[in-house]
Amino acid sequence: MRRLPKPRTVEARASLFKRVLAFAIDILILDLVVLGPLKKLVSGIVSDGGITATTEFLNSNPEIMNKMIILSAISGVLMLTYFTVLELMVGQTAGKALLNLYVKGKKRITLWQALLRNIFIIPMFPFVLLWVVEPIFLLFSRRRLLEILTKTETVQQVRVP
Amino acid sequence: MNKKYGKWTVIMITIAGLGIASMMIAWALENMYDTAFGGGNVAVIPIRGVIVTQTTDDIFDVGSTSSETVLRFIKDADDDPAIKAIMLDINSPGGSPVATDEIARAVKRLNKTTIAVIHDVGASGAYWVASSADTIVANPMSIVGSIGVYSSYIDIAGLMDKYGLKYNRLIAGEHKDLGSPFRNLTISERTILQLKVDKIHDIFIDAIAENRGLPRQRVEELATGIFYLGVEAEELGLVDMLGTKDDAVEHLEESLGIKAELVEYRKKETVLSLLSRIIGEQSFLVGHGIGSGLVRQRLQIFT
Repeated sequence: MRRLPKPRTVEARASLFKRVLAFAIDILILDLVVLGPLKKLVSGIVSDGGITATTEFLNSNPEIMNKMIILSAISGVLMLTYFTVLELMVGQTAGKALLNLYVKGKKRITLWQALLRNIFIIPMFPFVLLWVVEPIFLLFSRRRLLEILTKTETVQQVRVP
Repeated sequence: MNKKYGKWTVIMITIAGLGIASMMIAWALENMYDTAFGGGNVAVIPIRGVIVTQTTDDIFDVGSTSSETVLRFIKDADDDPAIKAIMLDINSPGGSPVATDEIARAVKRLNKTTIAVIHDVGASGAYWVASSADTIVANPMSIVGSIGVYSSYIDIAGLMDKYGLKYNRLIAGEHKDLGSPFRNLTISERTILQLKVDKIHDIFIDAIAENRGLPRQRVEELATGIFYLGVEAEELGLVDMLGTKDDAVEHLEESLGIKAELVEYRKKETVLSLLSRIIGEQSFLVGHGIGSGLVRQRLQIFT
């Protein structure tokens, strides 16, 4: 009987679709579990009138604006902690784990690498600028700008015959 | 990869940890600010206990509401465009005329819908405050009214005489020590004090007549200092409707066409004030228990 060669797995850059899906799962988890209690505090501020009405309202209420800034900073730190801790400890967030994606560097990623590659999650200036820059980089080079800067990448196992 | 624990264990612990941290932060933020952190379209301003002009974080200073705090809440609620109505949540026997007048005037100046809900007691100064609202809701058994003024002090002159203590009176200005507990009131001094009390009573009656749209003479008849039950107060025109806080919410929803979301304005809770409140409430409950026991004993004797 002829023996077939064992299938091999190699690491390849994660597909755009899987990355977006993994990120969406992570955001969903964060939204439900981590940000849920904080969202309750702002339920009346973020009005039904949409972003324009909310912005006008916040501009005319500096005290509430300050509270919102504090809340944004806290939410940002919690989300950053989620991505940083999990990528540092297990190389995967929940979303990435479900889709078999993981983060790697040249060696094991360090705290600073994990922190810096996820800094875009903080919903405050100047980090919000990355919300435009990162998808563009991801679309054209399949690596985010912060991944390039931190010398890390998100990969997946691909079977080769 | 963490070898000791499984991948999913680490992920679950991290998510749970962050969830708990988030809940604790939300709790802390809610208690850090005097007013609501956000949310809600009906501001609920509690008026509990004796109404005074100022309070401290003293452990003996429990069971009171300061006009200083209430005025700040009223201003915050007025400045907040999300707030469509203000509910005064009253359970108070009244208090300082100045404090109550300050609150009543602030409520009347508001351009937003106001409603007062009286729980167990909304008497005297607390009723004065309630009358400044557009609508008053009370339970049929609430204690309402008590439109009157009293002023009192303990005269210990007789006690001092008994123990041979002497009051050395050195004054510049005939009435400077008026009301001193160390000597008896003269007839003219009693008249002076009575006139002051009557004057405050007049102001009180004027305010109620104006706020409730009742003839002054009618309010004068009611202003004997007697309290009325909610059901009686409604018949007398001192209360607009009988019901509970839920009925008040329903009334607001119907009149404003909104889905009411209540947001309670609370005084900032510091560690000291939290401790004071716990100790104060414990002491009150112990005292209340002993007092109730004594009252029950008395009733058994006399009934």
